[in-house]
Amino acid sequence: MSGSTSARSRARGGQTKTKKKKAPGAPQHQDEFIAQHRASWSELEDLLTSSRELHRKSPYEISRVATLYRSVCADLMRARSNFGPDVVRYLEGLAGRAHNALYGARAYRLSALWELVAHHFPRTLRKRWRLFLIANLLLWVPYAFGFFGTLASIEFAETVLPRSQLMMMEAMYTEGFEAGRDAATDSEMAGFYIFNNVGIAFRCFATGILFGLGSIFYAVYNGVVMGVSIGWVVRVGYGHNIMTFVCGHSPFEMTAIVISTGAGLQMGWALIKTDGLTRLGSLRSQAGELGHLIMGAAVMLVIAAFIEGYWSPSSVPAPIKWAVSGLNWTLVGAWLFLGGRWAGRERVAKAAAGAPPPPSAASSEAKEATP
Amino acid sequence: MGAAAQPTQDAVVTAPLDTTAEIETPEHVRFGHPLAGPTRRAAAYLIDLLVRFAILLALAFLVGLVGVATGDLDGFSTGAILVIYFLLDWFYYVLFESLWSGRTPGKRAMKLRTVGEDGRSLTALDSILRNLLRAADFLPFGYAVGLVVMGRDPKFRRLGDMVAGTVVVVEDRGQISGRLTLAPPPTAKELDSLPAHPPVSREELEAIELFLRRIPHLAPGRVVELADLVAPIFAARMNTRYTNSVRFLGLIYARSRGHEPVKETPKRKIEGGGRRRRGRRGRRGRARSAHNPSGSPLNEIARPPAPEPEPAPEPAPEVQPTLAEPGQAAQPDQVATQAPTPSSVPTPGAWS
Repeated sequence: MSGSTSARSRARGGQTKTKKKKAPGAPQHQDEFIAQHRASWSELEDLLTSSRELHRKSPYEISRVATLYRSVCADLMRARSNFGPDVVRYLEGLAGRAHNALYGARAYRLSALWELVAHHFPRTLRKRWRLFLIANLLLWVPYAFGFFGTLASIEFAETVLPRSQLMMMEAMYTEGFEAGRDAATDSEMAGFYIFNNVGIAFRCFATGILFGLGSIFYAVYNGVVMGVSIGWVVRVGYGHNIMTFVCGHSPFEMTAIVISTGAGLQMGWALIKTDGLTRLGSLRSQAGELGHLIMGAAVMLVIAAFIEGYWSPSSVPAPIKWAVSGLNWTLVGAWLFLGGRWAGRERVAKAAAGAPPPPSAASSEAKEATP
Repeated sequence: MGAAAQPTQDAVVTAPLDTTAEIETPEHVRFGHPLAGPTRRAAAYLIDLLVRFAILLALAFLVGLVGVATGDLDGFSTGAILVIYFLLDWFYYVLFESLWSGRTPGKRAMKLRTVGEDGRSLTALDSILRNLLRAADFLPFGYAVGLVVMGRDPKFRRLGDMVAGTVVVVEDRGQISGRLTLAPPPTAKELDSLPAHPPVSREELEAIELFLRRIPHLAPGRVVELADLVAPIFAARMNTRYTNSVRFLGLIYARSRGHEPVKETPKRKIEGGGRRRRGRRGRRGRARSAHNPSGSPLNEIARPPAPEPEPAPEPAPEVQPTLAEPGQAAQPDQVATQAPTPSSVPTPGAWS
């Protein structure tokens, strides 16, 4: 309080005299109060409304905003106990904006992103392995259904997808990739895959908030469509071409779609099984985990898009492509099964040596028993 | 019939039907942020849509130029445009909300900001969650789900906001309007009819002030109707009688706030800043100054009253009937600027 008073008197400069007229502590009239503090308010107002973001201002200005903000907070408290709603509302707005500017920006560190993707993401996924399993079933069972159904009957395939689309799929894989594709087409296809597949994955996730129904729908739908498409190409005899094409990127792509679906199901499940919280509170409590999962999936999808755009259609002989596919599966597996295990242990050891773990960690562990 | 036995009134006063988000800062100061409603957010969305479209158009043009300059590179251009479109579609909001701590160009234009529900700043993960869930809010088309959810939520949150724990608040510059003055000024007799400290709670006093400030915007009949609802309660509490409910509320306010000192020769006070001028200019002037495009709101802060010495009017006779007919109630704007003459009768709504 004393700091803010001195700041105010500094801001007002010559106006200090007017303040001394009144004995300290005597009830002040609203007009007097406003007149006394107007200068510091308008100074803060000006600092906040200038077009530059706070962190780009000069150090003096930043600390000035902080000082003025604290003084406005004090003014607000006084206004709230003594003065009319008009003044209170004005000061609330001013304090609110100053608060948002001061506490707004948070620094980004690349290491934090790495930490998230390499450690938190796989750890969260292992914790939610049941949902991951269900999501796998939701995608792969319809996929197998579509695939084998198409192999068994043409009518089935034509029921699922229009003939024109099946023909298009067929035409795409008639030639194979021994000749490779030109760089321009590669780039175009990479762009298309990013656009299409990441969109699918994100939609699988987002629509899960409708009690999981959206995720289930998109997973099953995409599973069947993929199964029928690939089944059709295999049926007409270009199976080798399409398999060597998809084998490289599917470890990342399919896993990411499954993870997104799982995250969507997690939202839906949180709405159904609330563990004594309100539905909203239950949903909110998942936010951290959902963020980990979706960030991990997004990174996987970006990797998949690049493989799909540049490696998959290349003229590399089939055996190498299969070998790379195996390598990719191994990489994904290692990432998801091993990622964050050691870092986690170190942190647990540190936490045990230092302070007891925060209650949030304890409660999330308790939740683990009933996923 | 004491006010304490009126639970309904207390409930109205203590739990206002307001759309504000209470936020407690690390300094342990609480303040309310006004929440943004669907209309304002839709406007921000449209602005963002236009901005995204403009960015896409500009970048596509650039990519096209490069394509033409370097020969036939159709695939490259198409791929690049698709990637740009994808990034704009999914990450435009995340990028700006992270860079500008909760604001996008559209939100900036509409003076909106996304903040955490408890006032904490928006993190990148929050932003990613709330913006990915646009896919769900958008369903089946045009943010239909989002609108319905928002309409049912007291904090105007769409699904994305609920999952990420964020709210969108309005960061409007507040205004302090001029001080309220009673016209004609209260006489000593009038003030003496009330206790020195009227037994009115702070919330009640605020409600009275809000009412008095709203008088110029209300129909005269409505003013009387509203004042008649509460005036009997206060009168009963103070064991006094009144003749004009609006004036009675004004007197309570003046007495409590101590704005009008009881003097032998009451002086007419100049009202602060824009309020009074607005009243004179009438509807058009009010609309124009409501925008206040350039003027700092601090211009509106009441200046210390500059007393204008005037021949002291005789105490106005209290002859106003208790229930003024709506038609008889004079226009507040006109009355506010009337010079108080000894013969003038205090009219309801003589507040500006």
